[in-house]
Amino acid sequence: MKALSSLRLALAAMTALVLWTAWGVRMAFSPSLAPLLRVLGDGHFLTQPSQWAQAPALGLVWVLGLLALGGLLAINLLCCSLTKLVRNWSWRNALLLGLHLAVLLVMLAHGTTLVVGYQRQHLRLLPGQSLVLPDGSALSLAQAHLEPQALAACLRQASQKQTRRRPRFPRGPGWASVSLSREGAELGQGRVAFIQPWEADGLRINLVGYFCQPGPEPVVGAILNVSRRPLAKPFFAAYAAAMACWLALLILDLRRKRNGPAQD
Amino acid sequence: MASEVVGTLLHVAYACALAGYGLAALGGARGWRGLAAGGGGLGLAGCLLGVIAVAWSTGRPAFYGPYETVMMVGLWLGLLAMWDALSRRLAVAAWSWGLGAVLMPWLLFTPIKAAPINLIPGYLWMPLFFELRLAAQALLLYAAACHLAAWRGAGNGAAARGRLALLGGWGAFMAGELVGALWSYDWLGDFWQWNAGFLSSTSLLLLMGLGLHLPPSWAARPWLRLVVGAAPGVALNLVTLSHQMGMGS
Repeated sequence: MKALSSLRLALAAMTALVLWTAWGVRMAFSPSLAPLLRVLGDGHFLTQPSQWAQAPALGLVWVLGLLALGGLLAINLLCCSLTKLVRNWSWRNALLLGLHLAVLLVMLAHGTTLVVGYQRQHLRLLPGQSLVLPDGSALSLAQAHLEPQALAACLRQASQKQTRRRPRFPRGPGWASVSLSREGAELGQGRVAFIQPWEADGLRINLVGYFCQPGPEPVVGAILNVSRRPLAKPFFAAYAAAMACWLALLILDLRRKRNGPAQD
Repeated sequence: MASEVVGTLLHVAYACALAGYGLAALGGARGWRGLAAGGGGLGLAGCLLGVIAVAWSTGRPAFYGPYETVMMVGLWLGLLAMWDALSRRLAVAAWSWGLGAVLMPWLLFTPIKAAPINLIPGYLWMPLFFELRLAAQALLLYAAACHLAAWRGAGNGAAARGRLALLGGWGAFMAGELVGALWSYDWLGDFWQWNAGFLSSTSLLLLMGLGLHLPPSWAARPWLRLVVGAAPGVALNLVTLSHQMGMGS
């Protein structure tokens, strides 16, 4: 217990994680390893061993190392909190305990995204089209609407065959009407716009862009992200609790410094 | 005509900040209080003018792009340095001005202009994310200045102030991450993205944590305290500026 709660172990785990995540940044720019990061984002990587065989060996080493180091840091954080901070009671240590436990919850929420929930990014749907999501729900696009100026830019881009580029327009002027169903029964329908997602049955639908099909009657399609993150609210609550503890700790330390003797 | 006036203002502001912080650092290092205070005031006024000119010309607060980043960080750093100089902590102030002077020449390699970015009407998380990042950049550079001053003999008080600034910078950065997670949740549907930006933020957050978790026996070693106290500020500013300059804004 003493070894697991030591500051030296915390420093070693954090230093290793600094280097490991920096390696992850390099991975994100590597054509062979970047797809693995996208798979991680989709979820279920850890619970579906069939995906492991398709992953590059170096990428798999990185994922397993990240989990091992993150787990080591989490254990150290818990042990340190339960021994050093609980035993030596003071208001400052109580705040530190709250901060550490909240950070631990944030880490756990991040970890659980690898096994609970999922997300699918940049789904391109034309009006009338639908697609089946991993949990069996069907997402359909009823209509996508763009304001005239944005539509003209979209069509110009489409005619220049640049539709695969990230759309530089239009973030605001438009919306899409979507519906969700399961086994033929409609779960709901709603309207999404940029930064204005729609939620139904625990699913979150975000409009992230548009694409256009030129022709005598141009058609506007929507680019959608879909996610199911049951731990999103606990994640944000833990994060907010961590920040509240940090703020109180900072005020306490500033007051202590101001009331203490001049040090230089 | 108006754009020419704004362009001139941005250049004048930058010249004042560059020259002011350079002179202040020199004056602080030599113990010439008059030059330090005058230079620090000129630099601060330059940064303030730059930030106001950006807000005037774009109708939004300064928060993104190399020019706005450097001027905002320079403004916060200049305020902290002036507070130190007025409190007779010239060594820390001199290092803060020095780091401000080192930051300024980055703009020699990029156009002096406001970033071509618009606010989403009524949506606060996006600008707040960048403002908190800028506050973290300035606080962590200030922590670096305190640790440099302590290393050069300014005493344990400077090191204690550096640790407090590190705690402040860590919190500002983490608050920015929380706001960024809310922004990402609203925009992309998830509070975490497996990409270079999110991973580098995690790396930087952990790097800041190192300085807050030094065992007492290790914290007594000045060089080690300097390395872990100064590295986050240097790394965060390098990462942010190189990223923003790479985007060509």
